[in-house]
Amino acid sequence: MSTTERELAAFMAAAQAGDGKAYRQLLDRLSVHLKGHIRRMLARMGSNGAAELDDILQETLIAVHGRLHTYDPAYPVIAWVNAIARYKLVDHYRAVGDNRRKIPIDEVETLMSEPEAYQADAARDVERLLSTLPANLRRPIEEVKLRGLSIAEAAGAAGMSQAAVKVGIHRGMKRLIARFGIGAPSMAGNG
Amino acid sequence: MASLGNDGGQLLDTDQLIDRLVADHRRVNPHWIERACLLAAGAALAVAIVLVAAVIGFRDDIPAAVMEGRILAKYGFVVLASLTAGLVYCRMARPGRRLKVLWLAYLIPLGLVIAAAAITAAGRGLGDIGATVADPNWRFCVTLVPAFAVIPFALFAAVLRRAAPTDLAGAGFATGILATAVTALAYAAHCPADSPLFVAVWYPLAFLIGGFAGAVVAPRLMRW
Repeated sequence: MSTTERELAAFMAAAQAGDGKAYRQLLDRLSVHLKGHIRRMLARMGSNGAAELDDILQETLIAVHGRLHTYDPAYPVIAWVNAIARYKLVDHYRAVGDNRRKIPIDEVETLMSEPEAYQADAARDVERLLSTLPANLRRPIEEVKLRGLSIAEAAGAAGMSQAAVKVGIHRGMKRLIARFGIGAPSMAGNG
Repeated sequence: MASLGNDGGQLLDTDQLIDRLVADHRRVNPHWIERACLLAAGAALAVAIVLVAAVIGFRDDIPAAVMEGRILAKYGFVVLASLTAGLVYCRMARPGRRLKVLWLAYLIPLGLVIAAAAITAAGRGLGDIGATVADPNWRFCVTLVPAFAVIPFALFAAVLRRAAPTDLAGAGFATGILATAVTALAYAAHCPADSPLFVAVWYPLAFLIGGFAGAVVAPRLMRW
Protein backbone atom coordinates (compact mmCIF):
# COMPACT_ATOMS: atom_id res chain seq x y z
CA MET A 1 0.00 0.00 0.00
CA SER A 2 1.42 3.39 -0.97
CA THR A 3 1.85 6.28 1.44
CA THR A 4 -0.98 8.15 -0.24
CA GLU A 5 -3.35 5.23 0.07
CA ARG A 6 -2.43 4.69 3.71
CA GLU A 7 -3.10 8.34 4.50
CA LEU A 8 -6.37 8.33 2.62
CA ALA A 9 -7.49 5.18 4.43
CA ALA A 10 -6.68 6.78 7.79
CA PHE A 11 -8.55 9.99 6.93
CA MET A 12 -11.44 7.92 5.62
CA ALA A 13 -11.70 5.82 8.76
CA ALA A 14 -11.68 8.95 10.93
CA ALA A 15 -14.16 10.71 8.63
CA GLN A 16 -16.55 7.76 8.73
CA ALA A 17 -16.34 7.93 12.52
CA GLY A 18 -17.40 11.60 12.37
CA ASP A 19 -14.09 13.52 12.50
CA GLY A 20 -14.66 16.73 10.57
CA LYS A 21 -10.98 17.69 10.30
CA ALA A 22 -10.08 14.33 8.82
CA TYR A 23 -13.04 14.66 6.48
CA ARG A 24 -11.73 17.98 5.16
CA GLN A 25 -8.28 16.47 4.63
CA LEU A 26 -9.90 13.56 2.83
CA LEU A 27 -11.97 15.79 0.54
CA ASP A 28 -9.01 18.08 -0.19
CA ARG A 29 -6.82 15.17 -1.20
CA LEU A 30 -9.52 13.38 -3.10
CA SER A 31 -10.32 16.56 -4.97
CA VAL A 32 -6.69 16.93 -6.08
CA HIS A 33 -6.56 13.29 -7.14
CA LEU A 34 -9.94 13.46 -8.87
CA LYS A 35 -9.06 16.55 -10.84
CA GLY A 36 -6.20 14.68 -12.50
CA HIS A 37 -8.12 11.44 -12.84
CA ILE A 38 -11.19 13.02 -14.41
CA ARG A 39 -9.08 15.20 -16.67
CA ARG A 40 -7.32 12.12 -18.00
CA MET A 41 -10.61 10.29 -18.52
CA LEU A 42 -11.97 13.30 -20.39
CA ALA A 43 -8.80 13.59 -22.47
CA ARG A 44 -9.19 9.96 -23.46
CA MET A 45 -12.65 10.78 -24.70
CA GLY A 46 -11.33 13.68 -26.72
CA SER A 47 -12.71 16.36 -24.45
CA ASN A 48 -10.73 19.09 -22.74
CA GLY A 49 -13.54 21.29 -21.44
CA ALA A 50 -12.65 22.81 -18.11
CA ALA A 51 -16.36 23.34 -17.38
CA GLU A 52 -17.04 19.63 -17.79
CA LEU A 53 -14.11 18.83 -15.55
CA ASP A 54 -15.46 21.09 -12.80
CA ASP A 55 -19.00 19.76 -13.17
CA ILE A 56 -17.96 16.14 -12.94
CA LEU A 57 -15.49 16.86 -10.13
CA GLN A 58 -18.20 18.53 -8.07
CA GLU A 59 -20.78 15.87 -8.85
CA THR A 60 -18.26 13.27 -7.74
CA LEU A 61 -17.46 15.13 -4.51
CA ILE A 62 -21.16 15.45 -3.72
CA ALA A 63 -21.58 11.73 -4.40
CA VAL A 64 -18.60 10.96 -2.13
CA HIS A 65 -20.32 13.02 0.56
CA GLY A 66 -23.69 11.34 0.19
CA ARG A 67 -22.26 7.82 -0.15
CA LEU A 68 -19.51 7.90 2.44
CA HIS A 69 -21.09 4.88 4.12
CA THR A 70 -20.50 2.77 0.99
CA TYR A 71 -16.72 2.81 1.42
CA ASP A 72 -15.57 -0.60 2.64
CA PRO A 73 -12.37 -0.32 4.75
CA ALA A 74 -11.12 -3.59 3.22
CA TYR A 75 -10.65 -1.93 -0.18
CA PRO A 76 -8.48 0.96 -1.46
CA VAL A 77 -9.97 4.45 -1.16
CA ILE A 78 -8.65 5.36 -4.63
CA ALA A 79 -10.46 2.44 -6.29
CA TRP A 80 -13.66 3.43 -4.50
CA VAL A 81 -13.50 7.08 -5.50
CA ASN A 82 -12.41 6.29 -9.07
CA ALA A 83 -15.44 4.03 -9.48
CA ILE A 84 -17.69 6.87 -8.29
CA ALA A 85 -15.97 9.35 -10.64
CA ARG A 86 -16.38 7.01 -13.56
CA TYR A 87 -20.05 6.50 -12.74
CA LYS A 88 -20.60 10.25 -12.46
CA LEU A 89 -18.79 10.86 -15.75
CA VAL A 90 -21.01 8.37 -17.56
CA ASP A 91 -24.04 9.82 -15.79
CA HIS A 92 -23.01 13.34 -16.77
CA TYR A 93 -23.02 12.50 -20.46
CA ARG A 94 -26.27 10.58 -20.11
CA ALA A 95 -27.87 13.60 -18.44
CA VAL A 96 -26.52 15.94 -21.11
CA GLY A 97 -28.07 13.58 -23.64
CA ASP A 98 -24.90 13.36 -25.63
CA ASN A 99 -25.28 9.92 -27.12
CA ARG A 100 -22.96 10.59 -30.02
CA ARG A 101 -19.95 10.67 -27.80
CA LYS A 102 -18.43 7.31 -27.24
CA ILE A 103 -17.42 6.63 -23.68
CA PRO A 104 -14.80 3.91 -23.92
CA ILE A 105 -14.69 3.62 -20.16
CA ASP A 106 -13.56 0.05 -19.89
CA GLU A 107 -10.70 0.77 -22.17
CA VAL A 108 -9.93 3.92 -20.26
CA GLU A 109 -9.61 2.03 -17.05
CA THR A 110 -7.18 -0.55 -18.41
CA LEU A 111 -5.17 2.08 -20.22
CA MET A 112 -5.09 4.32 -17.20
CA SER A 113 -4.16 1.84 -14.57
CA GLU A 114 -0.51 1.61 -15.51
CA PRO A 115 0.45 5.26 -15.91
CA GLU A 116 -1.42 5.96 -12.72
CA ALA A 117 0.54 3.36 -10.89
CA TYR A 118 3.74 4.90 -12.24
CA GLN A 119 2.57 8.27 -11.15
CA ALA A 120 1.88 7.07 -7.63
CA ASP A 121 5.33 5.47 -7.60
CA ALA A 122 6.92 8.66 -8.85
CA ALA A 123 5.11 10.71 -6.22
CA ARG A 124 6.34 8.32 -3.56
CA ASP A 125 9.89 8.48 -4.88
CA VAL A 126 9.90 12.27 -4.79
CA GLU A 127 8.48 12.19 -1.29
CA ARG A 128 11.21 9.81 -0.19
CA LEU A 129 14.00 11.81 -1.80
CA LEU A 130 12.80 15.02 -0.22
CA SER A 131 12.46 13.43 3.18
CA THR A 132 16.25 12.97 3.22
CA LEU A 133 16.72 16.75 3.24
CA PRO A 134 16.60 18.91 6.35
CA ALA A 135 13.42 20.96 6.65
CA ASN A 136 14.99 24.30 5.74
CA LEU A 137 16.07 22.89 2.38
CA ARG A 138 13.03 20.68 1.83
CA ARG A 139 10.31 23.28 2.29
CA PRO A 140 11.44 25.72 -0.41
CA ILE A 141 11.68 22.87 -2.93
CA GLU A 142 8.27 21.50 -2.03
CA GLU A 143 6.60 24.86 -2.25
CA VAL A 144 8.24 26.21 -5.37
CA LYS A 145 8.97 23.10 -7.42
CA LEU A 146 6.05 20.87 -6.40
CA ARG A 147 3.25 23.18 -5.38
CA GLY A 148 4.13 25.81 -7.95
CA LEU A 149 4.30 28.84 -5.66
CA SER A 150 6.41 31.78 -6.73
CA ILE A 151 9.64 32.53 -4.87
CA ALA A 152 7.94 35.51 -3.22
CA GLU A 153 4.94 33.45 -2.08
CA ALA A 154 7.13 30.71 -0.68
CA ALA A 155 9.24 33.27 1.12
CA GLY A 156 6.15 34.87 2.62
CA ALA A 157 4.69 31.54 3.71
CA ALA A 158 7.91 30.36 5.31
CA GLY A 159 8.83 33.72 6.80
CA MET A 160 12.15 33.66 4.95
CA SER A 161 13.72 36.20 2.65
CA GLN A 162 13.43 35.56 -1.09
CA ALA A 163 17.17 35.19 -1.31
CA ALA A 164 17.11 32.54 1.42
CA VAL A 165 14.44 30.58 -0.48
CA LYS A 166 16.46 30.71 -3.69
CA VAL A 167 19.60 29.62 -1.92
CA GLY A 168 17.68 26.87 -0.13
CA ILE A 169 16.35 25.49 -3.41
CA HIS A 170 19.77 25.63 -4.99
CA ARG A 171 21.48 23.89 -2.09
CA GLY A 172 18.73 21.29 -1.75
CA MET A 173 18.87 20.42 -5.43
CA LYS A 174 22.65 20.19 -5.34
CA ARG A 175 22.49 17.86 -2.38
CA LEU A 176 19.86 15.63 -4.00
CA ILE A 177 21.87 15.45 -7.19
CA ALA A 178 25.02 14.63 -5.28
CA ARG A 179 23.27 11.96 -3.24
CA PHE A 180 21.13 10.29 -5.88
CA GLY A 181 22.75 11.27 -9.15
CA ILE A 182 19.52 12.58 -10.56
CA GLY A 183 19.66 14.06 -14.03
CA ALA A 184 20.58 17.65 -13.33
CA PRO A 185 18.85 19.41 -16.26
CA SER A 186 15.31 18.20 -15.53
CA MET A 187 15.49 18.81 -11.80
CA ALA A 188 17.32 22.12 -12.04
CA GLY A 189 15.10 23.41 -14.86
CA ASN A 190 12.02 25.56 -14.53
CA GLY A 191 13.72 28.65 -13.14
CA MET B 1 -28.09 16.59 -1.31
CA ALA B 2 -28.35 18.31 -4.70
CA SER B 3 -28.70 21.66 -2.97
CA LEU B 4 -25.15 21.33 -1.69
CA GLY B 5 -23.76 21.86 -5.16
CA ASN B 6 -25.34 25.22 -5.92
CA ASP B 7 -26.34 28.35 -4.17
CA GLY B 8 -29.62 29.60 -5.57
CA GLY B 9 -28.50 28.62 -9.03
CA GLN B 10 -25.08 30.14 -8.58
CA LEU B 11 -22.33 27.59 -8.88
CA LEU B 12 -19.81 27.25 -6.11
CA ASP B 13 -16.15 26.74 -6.70
CA THR B 14 -14.72 23.48 -5.48
CA ASP B 15 -13.26 24.93 -2.26
CA GLN B 16 -16.60 26.43 -1.31
CA LEU B 17 -18.27 23.13 -2.10
CA ILE B 18 -15.85 21.30 0.18
CA ASP B 19 -16.58 23.84 2.95
CA ARG B 20 -20.26 23.03 2.66
CA LEU B 21 -19.74 19.31 2.57
CA VAL B 22 -17.55 19.49 5.67
CA ALA B 23 -20.19 21.60 7.43
CA ASP B 24 -22.81 18.98 6.53
CA HIS B 25 -20.60 16.05 7.57
CA ARG B 26 -21.90 13.43 9.95
CA ARG B 27 -20.70 10.11 11.26
CA VAL B 28 -21.61 7.19 8.98
CA ASN B 29 -21.82 3.46 9.51
CA PRO B 30 -19.54 1.56 7.09
CA HIS B 31 -21.75 -1.51 7.59
CA TRP B 32 -24.93 0.33 6.76
CA ILE B 33 -25.45 -1.71 3.59
CA GLU B 34 -25.33 -5.06 5.37
CA ARG B 35 -27.60 -3.86 8.13
CA ALA B 36 -30.12 -2.35 5.74
CA CYS B 37 -30.03 -5.53 3.66
CA LEU B 38 -30.85 -7.63 6.73
CA LEU B 39 -33.72 -5.35 7.69
CA ALA B 40 -35.06 -5.39 4.13
CA ALA B 41 -34.73 -9.18 4.04
CA GLY B 42 -36.76 -9.52 7.23
CA ALA B 43 -39.47 -7.25 5.87
CA ALA B 44 -39.39 -9.00 2.48
CA LEU B 45 -39.79 -12.41 4.08
CA ALA B 46 -42.71 -11.17 6.17
CA VAL B 47 -44.40 -9.78 3.05
CA ALA B 48 -43.85 -13.05 1.17
CA ILE B 49 -45.24 -15.14 4.04
CA VAL B 50 -48.36 -12.96 4.23
CA LEU B 51 -48.85 -13.18 0.45
CA VAL B 52 -48.42 -16.95 0.33
CA ALA B 53 -50.73 -17.44 3.32
CA ALA B 54 -53.39 -15.09 1.94
CA VAL B 55 -53.33 -16.04 -1.73
CA ILE B 56 -52.38 -19.71 -2.04
CA GLY B 57 -52.04 -21.02 1.52
CA PHE B 58 -49.38 -23.21 3.09
CA ARG B 59 -49.39 -26.94 2.49
CA ASP B 60 -51.43 -28.77 5.11
CA ASP B 61 -48.93 -31.54 5.86
CA ILE B 62 -46.32 -29.15 7.27
CA PRO B 63 -45.74 -30.50 10.77
CA ALA B 64 -45.40 -34.09 9.55
CA ALA B 65 -43.49 -33.44 6.33
CA VAL B 66 -40.89 -31.04 7.65
CA MET B 67 -38.33 -33.62 8.65
CA GLU B 68 -38.46 -35.50 5.38
CA GLY B 69 -35.04 -35.55 3.72
CA ARG B 70 -36.03 -34.10 0.38
CA ILE B 71 -37.94 -31.25 2.00
CA LEU B 72 -34.89 -30.44 4.08
CA ALA B 73 -32.85 -30.56 0.87
CA LYS B 74 -35.31 -28.22 -0.84
CA TYR B 75 -35.07 -25.79 2.06
CA GLY B 76 -31.34 -26.19 2.18
CA PHE B 77 -31.16 -25.05 -1.43
CA VAL B 78 -33.49 -22.08 -1.02
CA VAL B 79 -31.73 -20.92 2.15
CA LEU B 80 -28.30 -21.25 0.53
CA ALA B 81 -29.55 -19.46 -2.59
CA SER B 82 -30.89 -16.60 -0.43
CA LEU B 83 -27.64 -16.26 1.51
CA THR B 84 -25.54 -16.32 -1.66
CA ALA B 85 -27.86 -13.82 -3.33
CA GLY B 86 -27.63 -11.62 -0.24
CA LEU B 87 -23.83 -11.62 -0.33
CA VAL B 88 -23.71 -10.79 -4.05
CA TYR B 89 -26.30 -8.07 -3.51
CA CYS B 90 -24.33 -6.45 -0.68
CA ARG B 91 -21.18 -6.44 -2.79
CA MET B 92 -22.98 -5.00 -5.80
CA ALA B 93 -24.22 -2.15 -3.61
CA ARG B 94 -20.71 -0.67 -3.43
CA PRO B 95 -18.96 1.33 -6.17
CA GLY B 96 -16.78 -0.51 -8.66
CA ARG B 97 -18.21 -4.00 -8.21
CA ARG B 98 -19.33 -5.79 -11.32
CA LEU B 99 -21.64 -8.76 -11.80
CA LYS B 100 -19.24 -9.98 -14.49
CA VAL B 101 -17.17 -11.59 -11.72
CA LEU B 102 -19.60 -11.99 -8.82
CA TRP B 103 -22.21 -14.04 -10.68
CA LEU B 104 -19.95 -17.08 -10.26
CA ALA B 105 -21.11 -17.23 -6.62
CA TYR B 106 -24.56 -18.25 -7.84
CA LEU B 107 -23.01 -21.46 -9.15
CA ILE B 108 -22.55 -22.76 -5.59
CA PRO B 109 -26.24 -23.30 -4.73
CA LEU B 110 -27.03 -24.10 -8.35
CA GLY B 111 -24.30 -26.75 -8.55
CA LEU B 112 -25.46 -28.35 -5.30
CA VAL B 113 -29.10 -28.59 -6.34
CA ILE B 114 -28.11 -29.98 -9.73
CA ALA B 115 -25.94 -32.57 -7.98
CA ALA B 116 -28.88 -33.50 -5.76
CA ALA B 117 -31.07 -33.80 -8.84
CA ALA B 118 -28.50 -36.01 -10.55
CA ILE B 119 -28.37 -38.31 -7.51
CA THR B 120 -32.16 -38.47 -7.52
CA ALA B 121 -32.26 -39.21 -11.24
CA ALA B 122 -29.72 -42.03 -11.01
CA GLY B 123 -31.31 -45.38 -11.79
CA ARG B 124 -34.67 -43.88 -12.74
CA GLY B 125 -36.20 -44.12 -16.21
CA LEU B 126 -36.42 -41.08 -18.48
CA GLY B 127 -40.22 -41.12 -18.40
CA ASP B 128 -40.22 -41.09 -14.61
CA ILE B 129 -37.71 -38.21 -14.52
CA GLY B 130 -39.71 -36.27 -17.09
CA ALA B 131 -42.92 -36.69 -15.13
CA THR B 132 -41.25 -35.50 -11.91
CA VAL B 133 -39.75 -32.43 -13.56
CA ALA B 134 -42.97 -31.61 -15.41
CA ASP B 135 -45.10 -31.72 -12.26
CA PRO B 136 -47.98 -29.30 -13.06
CA ASN B 137 -46.93 -27.18 -10.06
CA TRP B 138 -44.16 -25.66 -12.19
CA ARG B 139 -46.53 -23.06 -13.57
CA PHE B 140 -47.17 -21.67 -10.12
CA CYS B 141 -43.53 -21.72 -9.22
CA VAL B 142 -42.30 -19.69 -12.20
CA THR B 143 -45.17 -17.19 -12.13
CA LEU B 144 -46.09 -16.75 -8.47
CA VAL B 145 -42.56 -16.54 -7.09
CA PRO B 146 -41.61 -13.58 -9.35
CA ALA B 147 -45.07 -12.03 -8.84
CA PHE B 148 -44.90 -12.25 -5.04
CA ALA B 149 -41.33 -10.93 -5.22
CA VAL B 150 -42.36 -7.49 -6.51
CA ILE B 151 -42.68 -5.89 -3.06
CA PRO B 152 -39.52 -7.59 -1.74
CA PHE B 153 -37.75 -6.31 -4.86
CA ALA B 154 -38.94 -2.78 -4.13
CA LEU B 155 -37.60 -3.04 -0.57
CA PHE B 156 -34.17 -4.20 -1.68
CA ALA B 157 -34.10 -1.66 -4.51
CA ALA B 158 -34.87 1.10 -2.00
CA VAL B 159 -31.75 0.10 -0.05
CA LEU B 160 -29.62 0.20 -3.20
CA ARG B 161 -30.84 3.68 -4.02
CA ARG B 162 -29.16 4.82 -0.82
CA ALA B 163 -26.04 2.78 -1.55
CA ALA B 164 -23.74 3.31 -4.56
CA PRO B 165 -23.98 0.57 -7.20
CA THR B 166 -22.08 1.52 -10.34
CA ASP B 167 -23.15 -1.48 -12.42
CA LEU B 168 -26.86 -0.74 -12.33
CA ALA B 169 -28.06 -3.58 -14.55
CA GLY B 170 -25.88 -6.02 -12.63
CA ALA B 171 -27.12 -4.67 -9.30
CA GLY B 172 -30.68 -4.98 -10.56
CA PHE B 173 -30.03 -8.59 -11.53
CA ALA B 174 -28.62 -9.33 -8.06
CA THR B 175 -31.62 -7.59 -6.49
CA GLY B 176 -34.07 -9.65 -8.58
CA ILE B 177 -32.33 -12.89 -7.66
CA LEU B 178 -32.34 -11.95 -3.97
CA ALA B 179 -36.01 -10.88 -3.99
CA THR B 180 -37.16 -14.10 -5.68
CA ALA B 181 -34.94 -16.30 -3.49
CA VAL B 182 -36.29 -14.73 -0.27
CA THR B 183 -39.84 -15.03 -1.63
CA ALA B 184 -39.16 -18.70 -2.39
CA LEU B 185 -38.45 -19.21 1.33
CA ALA B 186 -42.15 -18.61 1.88
CA TYR B 187 -43.36 -20.18 -1.36
CA ALA B 188 -41.48 -23.45 -0.68
CA ALA B 189 -43.82 -24.02 2.26
CA HIS B 190 -46.76 -23.92 -0.13
CA CYS B 191 -45.42 -25.98 -3.01
CA PRO B 192 -45.97 -29.74 -2.59
CA ALA B 193 -43.40 -30.64 -5.26
CA ASP B 194 -40.27 -31.50 -3.28
CA SER B 195 -38.16 -33.63 -5.62
CA PRO B 196 -34.69 -32.20 -6.27
CA LEU B 197 -35.44 -32.84 -9.95
CA PHE B 198 -38.30 -30.37 -9.78
CA VAL B 199 -36.49 -27.89 -7.55
CA ALA B 200 -33.31 -27.88 -9.67
CA VAL B 201 -35.21 -26.83 -12.80
CA TRP B 202 -38.02 -24.51 -11.75
CA TYR B 203 -36.67 -22.63 -8.73
CA PRO B 204 -33.57 -21.39 -10.57
CA LEU B 205 -35.79 -20.47 -13.50
CA ALA B 206 -38.04 -18.42 -11.22
CA PHE B 207 -34.94 -16.69 -9.80
CA LEU B 208 -33.63 -15.96 -13.30
CA ILE B 209 -36.94 -14.39 -14.31
CA GLY B 210 -36.62 -12.15 -11.25
CA GLY B 211 -32.99 -11.40 -12.08
CA PHE B 212 -33.61 -10.39 -15.66
CA ALA B 213 -36.65 -8.31 -14.76
CA GLY B 214 -34.49 -6.57 -12.14
CA ALA B 215 -31.71 -5.92 -14.66
CA VAL B 216 -34.23 -4.28 -16.99
CA VAL B 217 -35.83 -1.92 -14.48
CA ALA B 218 -32.80 -1.14 -12.28
CA PRO B 219 -31.07 1.47 -14.48
CA ARG B 220 -34.14 3.71 -14.15
CA LEU B 221 -34.98 2.77 -10.59
CA MET B 222 -31.60 2.85 -8.88
CA ARG B 223 -29.83 5.82 -10.45
CA TRP B 224 -28.09 8.04 -7.96
